[in-house]
Amino acid sequence: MSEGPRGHLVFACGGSLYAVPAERASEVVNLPSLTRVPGAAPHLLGVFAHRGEVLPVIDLTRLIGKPADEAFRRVVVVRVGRGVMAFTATKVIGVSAIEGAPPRLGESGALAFMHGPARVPSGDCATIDPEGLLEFLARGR
Amino acid sequence: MKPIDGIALCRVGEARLAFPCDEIDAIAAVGPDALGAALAFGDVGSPEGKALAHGHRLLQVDSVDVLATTALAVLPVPAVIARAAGGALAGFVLLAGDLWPIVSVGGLLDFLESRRSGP
Repeated sequence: MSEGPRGHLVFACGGSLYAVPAERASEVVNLPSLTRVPGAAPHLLGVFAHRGEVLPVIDLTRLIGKPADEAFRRVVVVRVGRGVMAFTATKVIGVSAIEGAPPRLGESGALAFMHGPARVPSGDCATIDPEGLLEFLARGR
Repeated sequence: MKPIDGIALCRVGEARLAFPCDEIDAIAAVGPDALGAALAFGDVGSPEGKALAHGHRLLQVDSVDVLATTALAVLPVPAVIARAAGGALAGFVLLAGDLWPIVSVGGLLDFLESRRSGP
């Protein structure tokens, strides 16, 4: 049984396109200076205060083991039941409808919470399962 | 948000760390047994600085300023970094526009010792 089309916010980071369910993307903000977190994994660039809460910034390129790309200027703030996180973005494309659920990009690690390729007007993208990825990161990965 | 009283604001290279004063027994000169807080950021750290005494253990930082203040509002730790530094993060405080991670001295020393001894 296939799912109907679902709105996703599509953004670019490190030469790749990613998408998060639109209802989970709460806002896009310019990247401020970050506070480093002791003992954090390399993909956790730091945190910043925004509207009275602390937002952790995740570099998606480092998270999936690609070479770091420091060209990002913005972050996409993603909110799920258990918390909030912000993904680095070089460019925010917009909202596109994505139909169905493409296969996982990997069996383990962060790629197990990304699916693709999903076709959007600007190219192929990886859709992120934000609930699963947050749970994975919260386990200290 | 749980209030706290009194924190030691420490610089470690470009990074900032805040420690609850009630976990610090003394501020001492750096000794050979001190563990460098810079290791928590993957940095080597400066050979000089101050040491925070916690029991028989010493944590080295570059500088210390004690903020003997009334209650400070503590921002909670986001779930995705709750286990950073072995779970030593206790929250964050916002002071003059800068965000400071509040870290347990003992917890950070445990983390540094585990990192030094390997998996």
